Amino acid sequence: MLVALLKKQLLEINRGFFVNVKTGKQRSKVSSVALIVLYAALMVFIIGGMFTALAIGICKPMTDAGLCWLYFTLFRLIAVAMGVFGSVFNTYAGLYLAKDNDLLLSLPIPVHTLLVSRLLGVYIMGFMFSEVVLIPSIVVYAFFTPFSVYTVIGSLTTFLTVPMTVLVLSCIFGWMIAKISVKLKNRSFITVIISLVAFAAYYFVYFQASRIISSLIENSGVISSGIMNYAYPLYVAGLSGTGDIPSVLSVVLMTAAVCALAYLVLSKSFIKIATSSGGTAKVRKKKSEMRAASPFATLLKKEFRRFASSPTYMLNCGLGTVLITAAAIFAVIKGGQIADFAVREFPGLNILPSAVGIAVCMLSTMNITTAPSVSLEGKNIWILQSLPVDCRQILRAKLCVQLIITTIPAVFCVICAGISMRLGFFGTLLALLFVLSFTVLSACFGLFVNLRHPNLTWKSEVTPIKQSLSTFLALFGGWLYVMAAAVVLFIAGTTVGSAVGLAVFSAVNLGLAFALYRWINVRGSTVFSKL
Amino acid sequence: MLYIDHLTKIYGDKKAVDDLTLHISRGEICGFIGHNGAGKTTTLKATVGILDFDAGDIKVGGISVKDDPVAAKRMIAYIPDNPDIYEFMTGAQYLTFISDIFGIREEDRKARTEKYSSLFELTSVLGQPISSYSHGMRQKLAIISAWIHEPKLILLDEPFVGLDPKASHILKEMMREHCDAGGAIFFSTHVLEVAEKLCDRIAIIKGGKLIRTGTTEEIIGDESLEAVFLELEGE
Repeated sequence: MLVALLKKQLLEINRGFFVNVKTGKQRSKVSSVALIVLYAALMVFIIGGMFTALAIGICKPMTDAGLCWLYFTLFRLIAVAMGVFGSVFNTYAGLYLAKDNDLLLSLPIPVHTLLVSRLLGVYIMGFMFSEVVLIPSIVVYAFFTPFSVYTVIGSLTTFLTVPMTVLVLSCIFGWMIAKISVKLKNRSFITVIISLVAFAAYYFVYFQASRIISSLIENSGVISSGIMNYAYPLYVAGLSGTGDIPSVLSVVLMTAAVCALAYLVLSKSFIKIATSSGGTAKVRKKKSEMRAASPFATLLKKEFRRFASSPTYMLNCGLGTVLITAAAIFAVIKGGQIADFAVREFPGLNILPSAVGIAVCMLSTMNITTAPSVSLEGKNIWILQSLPVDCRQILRAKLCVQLIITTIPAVFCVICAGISMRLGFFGTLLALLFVLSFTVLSACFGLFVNLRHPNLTWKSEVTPIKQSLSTFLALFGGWLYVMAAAVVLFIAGTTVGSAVGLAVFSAVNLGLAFALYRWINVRGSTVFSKL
Repeated sequence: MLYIDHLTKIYGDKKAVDDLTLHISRGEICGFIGHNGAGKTTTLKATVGILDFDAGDIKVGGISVKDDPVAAKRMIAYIPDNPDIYEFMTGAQYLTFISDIFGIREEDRKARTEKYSSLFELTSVLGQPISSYSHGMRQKLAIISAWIHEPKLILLDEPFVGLDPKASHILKEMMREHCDAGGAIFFSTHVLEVAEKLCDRIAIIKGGKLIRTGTTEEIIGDESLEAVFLELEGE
């Protein structure tokens, strides 16, 4: 029974390898094998390779300094973080939100078997993500230190106990996410903020990696005494990796005890968790919700609600707003230095207005809300089609969302850059004109491609947002266009002058935008009404 | 109120609706009956203007759905067989959205929301996101959204599916009241007992063709609607 349940669990986790999630059809054997090989290569060579490099960088200095335990403590912590990060959402979905709980609980399956099968699924995920960190660290350690039975015992302890720790922590965090997500009102915004912080942290660590490693090695003495004084269990855990028998026994016993406790708590509460509706907190109807608005205002409100309701939509099609705002702050801080650099490196060429325009346009290409906006209507499209509104109004509302979320930060950014980089009134105005004309063009282009390539039959909104031809064309088309504009504006800067180049390109942008807007109004609205 | 004249809709080489002509007057409830795939939903969708058709014309209150769809839609409310409603809105937000589109005054929308949501016992959940609603609750919300703008013609595709007995009873009463007040209703159903008791007019469709239409008395005569329907299906 347990094997059958585990098989089902694994099939569910790995469904993406065997079934095309977009179409729901079975993949061919070749494509399944290719996907598995690609995934394995990513895990082993890219992620595994990254941690092997890290292990090589710090293992020798730490073993030479007699701080082998610190080496293992560090890798244990990274492995636990990686394992929890990789499996916590799976735990949340698999343990607390499983769609087949009702079905399985109605079958003659003992609750503990069901729980064990669910936990094994979580364990496997955690094992995979933590071992991709641990195995390189163990191999590198074995390479730099002489072979002994203690090394083998220590490695095995690390290899086996870390995934168990990951399992327990994933269950705790998964439970916390389940609890918090029920209580939260603005879940989408909080998800977006957490994701942005995670992105920022990732890139910070990525760019600072070598500095962090050298700092770790240089300050290893201070760090180790700090851990020994204030976080003794971490010291013991690290020491167990070197094969120190009392530490090995302590870690094994502690892990077993914590696991047993977690299992006991879960088995007591599993039925309650599995049979809870997972509904949202009770919200009273607000009086302001019934306030009247014009049809266009209500369509616009509806588009904004759609945008704000989905973290996937906001992160993939509205990231430009955050980036442009960050660029504005950067311009305020570093604008003067950049201006001095430009004057020094390109004397006589007034390239700054063009550079500012290009930079803001490049960032604004990350805003492509119009590109999946028609597809996102999905099964709900009957509502708009059956209502007495002109389809042109509906499409205009979709355009306005992208224009609003892009133009406001873009104007702010260009003005900040204009002041800090001393572009002057005329230079700032031209840069602004170029950015605004591109914003209109970009919004129209996104809507145009989506009207040409709509997909209303998706099962997950990820399909129209991340895996559709229209978003691909809108994103890469935007990049290519801005890159081409950069080349043309640079040439114009060296020949006819930057101001002329910007003015002409703005006119081109507006001309193209007008043509697309006309198409949307005339043909596009008919296309929408017949979808 | 509703004039469907020689409506034809072709999918590929299959005629989903074949030269269908049907008139529904003010004050009439017309039941649309047929087996699965007979063309009921296609006819309803064409009437509401969300499906283009190949031949014929459809007029609502004298306005052609093809020539002036927006004006025609101002008089119509439509509820599909599976009410997929914006899950990112709350029930109240959805009703406000529909009211705004139809330009319903604030006092009216509040009064109607109050009235219908308490009738369907939905008042306490109007502040909740629609994603948390059951099928029946979504159906009730779709019904409220249809009635909130007091349309002249209401088109319903299998409206009783998913409704509890009490809600079904309320809906039947609302349909009757709407028609007594001068409106018209055109709805498809598989529940022949309901059609027999509720409808003033019945239209039976088979393979895209309207095979029988008339007042309920004319159609069933001394038999039951079920007997008539099965007899026609067997032909």
